[in-house]
Amino acid sequence: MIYIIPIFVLLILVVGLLSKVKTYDALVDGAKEGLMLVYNVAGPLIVIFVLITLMQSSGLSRWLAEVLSTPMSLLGVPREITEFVLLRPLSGSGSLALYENILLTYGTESHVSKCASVIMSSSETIFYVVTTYYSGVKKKNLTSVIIISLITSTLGVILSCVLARVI
Amino acid sequence: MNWIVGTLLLICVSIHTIYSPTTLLPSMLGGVEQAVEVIISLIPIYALWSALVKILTQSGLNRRISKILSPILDRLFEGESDEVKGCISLNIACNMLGVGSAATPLGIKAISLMDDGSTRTTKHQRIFTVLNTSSIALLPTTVISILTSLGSSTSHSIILPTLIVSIVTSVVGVLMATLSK
Repeated sequence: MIYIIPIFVLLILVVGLLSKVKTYDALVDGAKEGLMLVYNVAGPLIVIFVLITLMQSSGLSRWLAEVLSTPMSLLGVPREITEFVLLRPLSGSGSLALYENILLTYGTESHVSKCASVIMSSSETIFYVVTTYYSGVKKKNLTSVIIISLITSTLGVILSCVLARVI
Repeated sequence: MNWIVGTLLLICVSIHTIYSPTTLLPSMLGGVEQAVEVIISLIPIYALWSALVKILTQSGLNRRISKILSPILDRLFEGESDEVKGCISLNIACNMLGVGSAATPLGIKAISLMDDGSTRTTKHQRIFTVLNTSSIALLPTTVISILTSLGSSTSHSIILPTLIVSIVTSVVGVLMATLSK
């Protein structure tokens, strides 16, 4: 495992040399493009982070978690992880903190923790991925692609909790 | 996206105005502060990986890789150029290996190259997005290391269920992306 990154970087450099890429020029160009990427992503990230903080400080996310916990438990998703499941597509750092909290509260071998573990590793921060990936194209209506991602990730959550019973 | 964010913000600000008007501004500023922290932490990551990935795209390796994966890619992304398919295959390979930060510049490039200039997402853009949001990782390293650090001896048992969930959600997501408009 520890060799994946070094081998990956070595491979890139070797491929570059073998196919006669101007290594220095390419690195300079790429680094500049990287900064442009951050510049493009900055706006969407600020808006999403303000929204997440407001949802938590206003109590909206806790209220949503309470309301949704009953239908979710009918689908086999434990009540204890509802807020974590809701936060997962919005915030990577936020859901990671809730995930660790779940493990500490219920222990690593509990069903609740197993559900949370499979969900954590099989899902993505959808809003972050979508806003980042589309930051290079202007004025896109992203509603449909976000809805598709949210529906599939909800299916993933339900399936995760089913499989967590087996392991 | 506009009306979802607009409505949610409106609800949150209304609740704040009624129940705790004084915490609204600190709360919003706190959100921006967190975002700025993330943005600053992204600068070195994106600069480094974009630089390295630039060598790959200029070497033409991405086109060659796309030829190997062409049986699958041709079906999902019919009609796209070899350059697009190359970015897509490298992006998926990086995600599988857990080098997500290298995958991001490739993903942004693929989305830009597949763009048709309209305000709506294209079918191929949607398929590519769900492949990324369903998170196909061969080894969920973050979760395994957290579980191990908290004393779990069976942390590796999550690998198989994770893979099954990712594959199922990818297939369902691709189907929905193909059928949607």
